[in-house]
Amino acid sequence: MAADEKGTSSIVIEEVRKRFELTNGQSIEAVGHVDLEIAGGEFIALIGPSGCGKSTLLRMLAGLEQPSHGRISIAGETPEECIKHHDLGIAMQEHGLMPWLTAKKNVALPFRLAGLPVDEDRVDELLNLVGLQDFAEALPKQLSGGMKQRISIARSLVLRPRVLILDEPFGALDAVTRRLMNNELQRIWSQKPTTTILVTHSVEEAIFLADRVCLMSPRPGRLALIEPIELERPRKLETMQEQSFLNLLAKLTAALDEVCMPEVAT
Amino acid sequence: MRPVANSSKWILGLGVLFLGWEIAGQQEWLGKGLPPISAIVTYALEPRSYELLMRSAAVTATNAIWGFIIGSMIGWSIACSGQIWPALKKGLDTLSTFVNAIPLIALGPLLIVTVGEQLTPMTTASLAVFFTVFVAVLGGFERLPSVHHDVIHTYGVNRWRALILVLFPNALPSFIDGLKLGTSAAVLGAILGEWFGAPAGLGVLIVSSMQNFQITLLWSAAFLGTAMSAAGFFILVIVQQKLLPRFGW
Repeated sequence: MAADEKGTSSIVIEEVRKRFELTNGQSIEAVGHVDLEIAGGEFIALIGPSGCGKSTLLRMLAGLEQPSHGRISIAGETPEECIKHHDLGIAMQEHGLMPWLTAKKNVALPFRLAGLPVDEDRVDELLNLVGLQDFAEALPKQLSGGMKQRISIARSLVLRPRVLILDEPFGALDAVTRRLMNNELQRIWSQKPTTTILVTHSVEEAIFLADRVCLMSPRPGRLALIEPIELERPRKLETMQEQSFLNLLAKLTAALDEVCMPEVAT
Repeated sequence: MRPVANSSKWILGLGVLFLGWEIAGQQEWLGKGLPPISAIVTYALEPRSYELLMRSAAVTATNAIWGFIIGSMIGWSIACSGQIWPALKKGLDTLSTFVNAIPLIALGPLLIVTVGEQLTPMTTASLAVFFTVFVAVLGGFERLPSVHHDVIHTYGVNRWRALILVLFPNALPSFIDGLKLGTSAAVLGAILGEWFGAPAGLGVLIVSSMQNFQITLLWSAAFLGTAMSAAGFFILVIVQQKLLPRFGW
């Protein structure tokens, strides 16, 4: 499918489990039974305690891990088929930029990796979108942490993926930069809503960005709560001060405490 | 200021070494086997010995350079082949380790009767270099951060493109480190190969001067071999300093 013909894709996660075999012959179940349907163009945030399997679930969606049980379907295709069609974009906590390439060449890298001719206009458009057109020729070591993450997000979008996978992309940033980056991501996403799954430890970030927040229980991770976020878009940084936002924050924080530390929460 | 300070340290260190050597040689603390450095330099600069040494050094340098190029290409190719065809990787790794484990001293006579005395020094130089470069490139490939592996996977990249666009650029610093080590291995391999009966070269000079107890000639040849290794090493240090920053390292 040509890049400019691509739309967004619904995702079906059906009875997915993931079990890891350990070196001592035992095994641990990282992800329990997960069922989830994500509509095309929807923004989903996954939150939960450390080690609950959020990133494992995301890696299964990206085809980086295979489910031990169940199936994942993206617009009727397996993640591997989506990879073949270059329909997945991914950005992680580690920016993963190639240190020997300039910002512009890093954004263009997916074209070259996919064996496609580089669409210079698309690369420039994304550099503009993330506000780094003046840093196009800078090497990653010359960019700040926030800039690197913006380049990483631009790279993840360059092939117009139908699904965007974000694994704590702002986890390593300071609080102020992180809020600014949330705003940036929302702006970028609003311009062309792409089916997005974000893993984050920040409840505020999840509420600010997502259409639905999925709370996972401790390992083996299961969906303990799915909370629709009905805040109007576009959301602004001031939205975080509104009562409706704070109510959601209180509700989800309490739910998170309850799944993490039921004895304290009760 | 830093390069000047570094140069001063080098000059001072070498000065102390040569002064100590000169005194030890003059006093014959280690007998006739360690002549004063001034005697070695005087001998090496005499027209007749100078001509002999330069002619031999040119032969050894040619063998070492060709051995270095061929050995580096073999080492690089084997390491890359293992990435492109994973099924071959284990076999190639084992074969490389096995070939490297065979002492050159044992291979020398076999090479004389197989590839001939003319090509033996180049072959031993190649064999001495290939494993160093192979290990260095492989190390570079294996140090690829897991996030880069994830990026490669997510864009459905074939192995050739992964090698050219990500794996090899990532291994470049390691590769150059391997080449730096390979320079001295190439000179050593070439001299060793000449030792087994090549028609000319520093190895031949070392054997004949040793048998004829021409100590100053022996030391002069050894000095030239060392200078050749050091020159190769420093050329690659300069290449490293100029090249790697261009690639963002």
